Amino acid sequence: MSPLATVGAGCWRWIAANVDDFLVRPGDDVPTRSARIVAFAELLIFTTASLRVGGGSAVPPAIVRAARDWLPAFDWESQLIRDPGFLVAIATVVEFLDACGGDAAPYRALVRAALARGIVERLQLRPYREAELDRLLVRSGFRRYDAAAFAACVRRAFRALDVPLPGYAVADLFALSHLVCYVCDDGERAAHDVVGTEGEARLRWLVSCAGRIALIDGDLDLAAEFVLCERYLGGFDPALTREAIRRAAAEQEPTGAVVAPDPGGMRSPFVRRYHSSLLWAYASLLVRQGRTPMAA
Amino acid sequence: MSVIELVAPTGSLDDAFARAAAWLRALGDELDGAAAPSAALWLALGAALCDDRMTANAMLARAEAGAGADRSPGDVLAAALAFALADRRPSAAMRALLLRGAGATPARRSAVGMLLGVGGAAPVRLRSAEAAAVLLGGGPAASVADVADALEAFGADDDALASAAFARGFAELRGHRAFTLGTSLLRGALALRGDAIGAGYVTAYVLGQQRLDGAFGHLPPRAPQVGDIRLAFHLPRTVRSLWTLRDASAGFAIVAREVARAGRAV
Repeated sequence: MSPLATVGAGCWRWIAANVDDFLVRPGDDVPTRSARIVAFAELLIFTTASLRVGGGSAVPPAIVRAARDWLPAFDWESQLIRDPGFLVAIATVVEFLDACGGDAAPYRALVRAALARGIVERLQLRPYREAELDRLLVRSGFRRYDAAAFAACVRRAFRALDVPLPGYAVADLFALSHLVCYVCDDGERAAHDVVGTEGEARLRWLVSCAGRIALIDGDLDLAAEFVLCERYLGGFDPALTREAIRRAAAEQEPTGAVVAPDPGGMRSPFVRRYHSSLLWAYASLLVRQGRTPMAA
Repeated sequence: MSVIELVAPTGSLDDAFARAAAWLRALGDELDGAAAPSAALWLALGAALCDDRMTANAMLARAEAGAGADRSPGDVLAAALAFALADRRPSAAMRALLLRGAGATPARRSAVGMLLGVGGAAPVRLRSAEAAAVLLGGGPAASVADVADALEAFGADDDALASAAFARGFAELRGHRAFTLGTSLLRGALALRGDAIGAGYVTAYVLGQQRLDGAFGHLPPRAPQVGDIRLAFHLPRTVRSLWTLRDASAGFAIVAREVARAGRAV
């Protein structure tokens, strides 16, 4: 098995073995943005993306089943009433159910009702979060794609990142990688359609540099983000991807997990593993196919 | 206009150089005759980078006058470059001083030796794959410094290293103590690849370091700032900043150009 396939298989194995840890347990107090809810949303995001790229067999069925079966046990509407920002999570659920063939109708109704109440305008999202929500709503058919408005939103988001790279905090590096995902619509749209050819060249430069900074820092979580970006931008920097895979394979735990750094020493073992393992599970699918989704 | 803007510089390059040159001149006027030759050497390189050859020569003469065996020349590569840019041959005492202090890395020893016309000094050739691994691998600082010196002075046989050098350079610049290594790596990266985007980001970063008085460099709030730190801190930072801006705007490393020129002259 190639290092890439080994990394992917190991990560899916770890996720399947730990899928219960992504789910809110009965009786848990659930703040709307608790770590477990965030973890569950991430599980849905990467499962959805993997199903889209790799088809129904791309994700171990036990993972899809666990996530889908758990959904009705949670009161999504209450969360949305408590926190309008929860709209993003419910739109993520809609995308997941659409991808795995589930019934998204109840969740679609919640999103439609929230949109009718003008929730989006009241959220006061940061520009890159605004781009994320716009993309989610367009993907699931709640909103028509408005190229000019999206480009304006992306422009605002990049203004916030117009500082030299040494001034980037880790959160800025994640914001950059997420923006590339939104601009490229996870590989289904050419970046230059949104940011122009010069903008695309700048994105490639930033991804190439930031991805290597992640490797210098030994941050395999962030490195995986930029591997995805590299694929979405057309596979322009295979050396970055090769080196990131080599390191992920070398450092993968026997359980299959790939571990994220913990500079503050405060993260639980699960939190240190779930995000980077989800990322590498998906990245392994994307890279193994040797193409970006756009070219599919 | 691109959706993704380049980090907006706070002013033009010409303005930055003019303000820095004025700051350097003012500092040179105040320089105590008993000051270490390193200060005069830094001032000479700064003047040369600002195309002020007269001041550069005056400062080099001053440095030579104080070049006793017990004096530190500071950054010997910068000093040797100052002589090269001013087209001035150093005195025997200065040459001895610079060669004695040139031992930081093999590449630096060779570069300084070639700039000073020392027989036997030869280019250091990097193996690209190994050098990139050093830059990305968090290897020992001495190895990274060696790669940086070799890149800046001698280039490499392909541009595969450029991305690694840009990344390592910017990564180093997150910590204020690694300004020397960070800017050296960025100059090395610029030497490897004619990269307008990279040069733009380097320029924007360095211009952002300039202070209102024309000097470059900032300290973290808790760093000790006892007494006058212009000679010890702002002077070398200012000259390294000008050096990096020159390379970024020229699209090549001036050290490599001068080393090549010296090599041809031997």
